[in-house]
Amino acid sequence: MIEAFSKWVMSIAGAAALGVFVDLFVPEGKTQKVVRGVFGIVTVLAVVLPLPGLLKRDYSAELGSGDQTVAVSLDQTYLYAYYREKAAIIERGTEKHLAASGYGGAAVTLATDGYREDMNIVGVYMNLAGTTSPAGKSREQVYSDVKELAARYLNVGIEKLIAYG
Amino acid sequence: MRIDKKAKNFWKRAQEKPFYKRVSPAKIFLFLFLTIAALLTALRPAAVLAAAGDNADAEKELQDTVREQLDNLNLSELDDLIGQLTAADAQLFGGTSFKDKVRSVLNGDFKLGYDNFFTAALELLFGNLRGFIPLLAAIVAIALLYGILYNARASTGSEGTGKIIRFACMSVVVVLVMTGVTQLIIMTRGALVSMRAQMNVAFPALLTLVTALGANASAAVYQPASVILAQIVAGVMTGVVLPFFLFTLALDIVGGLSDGVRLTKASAFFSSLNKWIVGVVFTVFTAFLSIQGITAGAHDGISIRTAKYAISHYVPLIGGYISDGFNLLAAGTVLIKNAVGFSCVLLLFIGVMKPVIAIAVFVLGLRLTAAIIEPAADPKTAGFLSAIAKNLTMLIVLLLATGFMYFIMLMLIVSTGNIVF
Repeated sequence: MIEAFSKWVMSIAGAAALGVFVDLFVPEGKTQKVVRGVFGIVTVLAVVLPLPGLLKRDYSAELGSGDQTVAVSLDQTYLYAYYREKAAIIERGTEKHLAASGYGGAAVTLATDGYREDMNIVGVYMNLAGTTSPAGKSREQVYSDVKELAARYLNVGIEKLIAYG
Repeated sequence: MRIDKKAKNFWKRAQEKPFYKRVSPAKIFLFLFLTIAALLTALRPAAVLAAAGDNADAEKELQDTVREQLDNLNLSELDDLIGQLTAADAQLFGGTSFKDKVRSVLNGDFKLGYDNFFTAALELLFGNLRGFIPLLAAIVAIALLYGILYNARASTGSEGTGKIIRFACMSVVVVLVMTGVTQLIIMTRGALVSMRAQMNVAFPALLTLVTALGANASAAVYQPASVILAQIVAGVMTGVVLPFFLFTLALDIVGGLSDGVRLTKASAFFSSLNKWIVGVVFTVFTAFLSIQGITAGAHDGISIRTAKYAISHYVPLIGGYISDGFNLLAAGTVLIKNAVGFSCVLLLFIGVMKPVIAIAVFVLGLRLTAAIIEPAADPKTAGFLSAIAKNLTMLIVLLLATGFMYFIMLMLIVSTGNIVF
């Protein structure tokens, strides 16, 4: 589009410049007036004639070229680290909740379907190897209690929780 | 009327007996005491209820969070842009690394040095003046010489000789003017290209931070808007408006060479077209972006507060370790986003300041030259210089319009998600 406009303006400027040169060397008198008139008409034609061609063109503005989708590419490394940190906060929160309920020392690991904004918990792994538990409770009871506590805290189904150690 | 009479009486009494003589000292003292007491109460720092130790721990945790997040954020392309700055510009920016700059803003070490900017602006002003003075002096000399030669020719009565002298002098003036104008066009184009490069690099980083905060509506608005700004708007400015400006220059030059050739209206057409294009693009883009940005921001403010959590099916708890942890993480992201946005604004300002001052100095110089030569030289020469000076303001408009649109976009993104708490 700009090339077409550029040619148009150059043709106007060229016709005018030619008129300037001719005007310099033509002697005074009627001849000069005629020459000026002719070059004036030539300049007007240089302005007007290309206009229909310019107006008939199809002008289109596309964001991308061809099939290329134009989008802002986000920093996926940062976003991954950010959502991973959010999952880590929930893990630590769960550990603190278990400690507050008498099961201190548990190590909780969340398994999600990916680190992104709408990630889902697909599994919760609780390592109870170093856990302190209330006296008089069997290992199975401890597992069962811990799973129940974590399931209520995290609002997930108990089938997603695995306790070991 | 009664009110007027009362007002008249009041002023009459005030002039006869000033206020301080009509009110007792006790009343004045009481009034001052109450005012000072009210001010002190209002300005008193809020009572710190938490223990000093808790505050220090929270602050340390925030700093650690910010440091970790900043290490994860990729700002290397912005570092490359800083590397392209001149030594003076890099000093004004305050370093050669964008990330270090963001760190200094986060730590509160950075202070906006108004003195530095003022000094730099003055240096640019006088530096450009010193650079353009020889050029403008040459134009004055040529124009005055033409004036003398033209008057000398008038006494011998040769019209043709006069035209040739005029053509020769105008040609020299045109060449001198175009020397300066070419430098300015190169500088303007360089600044526009640099702004476009900054947009292509800054927006992904800022939109990453906005997305991390969960401001989805804003991110959905700003993603296409940033593409439109960086590609279409910046492309229109460099690919359409700048060439049209060159057309007006070409027509002014050819029209100025001879009395017989009149192209002022053609030049005015392209100049007017440019103003319309810039005006429409600027108005439509900023209006659309501001409205969309404000409504999206309001939506995100509510949605972020009510659903702050990344994991679905998780019932949000009011208070507690997880809520506080998420708040700290979000706070770190907000701080980084604002620091990055501020640093980008600083970079933008440094990039735009230099060409704008150079163009302004040249425009004023041309107008002054036209004023100097007008009494003694050909009026068409003075008219030509004024026309060029008038057209050159389009370059300033171009830079400021593009810069302002970029600035608005940055500010909207920076203000997004700040109402997280």
